[in-house]
Amino acid sequence: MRLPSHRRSSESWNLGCQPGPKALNQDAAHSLTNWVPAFAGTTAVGIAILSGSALFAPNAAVAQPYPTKPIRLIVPFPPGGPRDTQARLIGPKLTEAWGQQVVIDNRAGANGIIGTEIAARAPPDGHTLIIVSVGFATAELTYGKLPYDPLRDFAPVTLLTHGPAILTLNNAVPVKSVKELIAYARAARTTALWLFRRRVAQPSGGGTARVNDRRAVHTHSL
Amino acid sequence: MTGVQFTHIPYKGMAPALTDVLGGQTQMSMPTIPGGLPHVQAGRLRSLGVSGAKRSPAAPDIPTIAEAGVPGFEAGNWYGLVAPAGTPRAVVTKINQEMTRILALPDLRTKLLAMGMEAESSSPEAFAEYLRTDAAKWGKIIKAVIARSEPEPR
Repeated sequence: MRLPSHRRSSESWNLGCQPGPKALNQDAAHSLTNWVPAFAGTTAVGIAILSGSALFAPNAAVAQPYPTKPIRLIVPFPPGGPRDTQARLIGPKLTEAWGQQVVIDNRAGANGIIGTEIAARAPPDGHTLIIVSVGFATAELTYGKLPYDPLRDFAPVTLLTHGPAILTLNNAVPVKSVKELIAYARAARTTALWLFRRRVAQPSGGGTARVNDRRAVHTHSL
Repeated sequence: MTGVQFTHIPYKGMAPALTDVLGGQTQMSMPTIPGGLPHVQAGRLRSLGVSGAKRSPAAPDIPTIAEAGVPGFEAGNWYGLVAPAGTPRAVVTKINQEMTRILALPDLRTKLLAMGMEAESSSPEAFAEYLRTDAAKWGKIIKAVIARSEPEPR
């Protein structure tokens, strides 16, 4: 996985901080460093004109009409899940505000990779958006090489929601707090079972693991 | 974080995982709030904490795992909106501003909370940073899990 932490985020608009092939024009228009060569070697009048146009360049981009057609909101999972429900709550609000239909496009498969690839290859004009979740930026570690780069091929727009998991226990487990649970688990060694919903790698490539399958069971540290 | 070992059992989904916790075949699980809270409220399961950095307004009586004894623990789920790279900055800004307004609407917040989710917008820059931090955090954990999950020689 390429984590571009060594690049400055102000350099371009992409998350990966390195413009992809289709990002070059837009990035050039918004990158201060790209304006500098334009000033060099010009007359005072030229500087005035150039700085004027440079100052207005972002505003010209604002004036570009958007949205001009229905917006496709990709949900890379089947209808009915949490992403889908959120998309169907948000979509009508955007339609109400902008007068353009928001079409929820469920593109399920490969735990979100198929729909995400479709979004990565869509025209970068704001008429294709996708809801992503935890795991979006780490999929390469769990699934191998991806047909897109989650950090370079997407422009983040906004966080939407966050929500915790809830640590639940069978009533027969004799603990009443996290501290007691830790002490109990320490004493019981590996008898306490930790079930974590899809958060971490699915071992052995499948969801049919049995408890007595050594390869399918591993331990977690809390 | 505490050095305590728990055995991880992957299930196909939250429902079968919870069924086994309810039946006592397994001892604990970490479902979503809508999946787990009804069982806790009905007394069928006990909850010791929520995994987020803050308490959830959906279950304000339940402490965070961090405040209940594992300082720094945070493993919340999140959802976000991204566009293809190269989407003009002005368009991204316009969508961001509209989404910020929408995510503050009380009726929407109520509906999301019923799903255990708290609406929270961010600037595109803050979301980019969030993605990088999250990738680094889970990347480290996933690599450790994969290393431990290699089949043992027979």
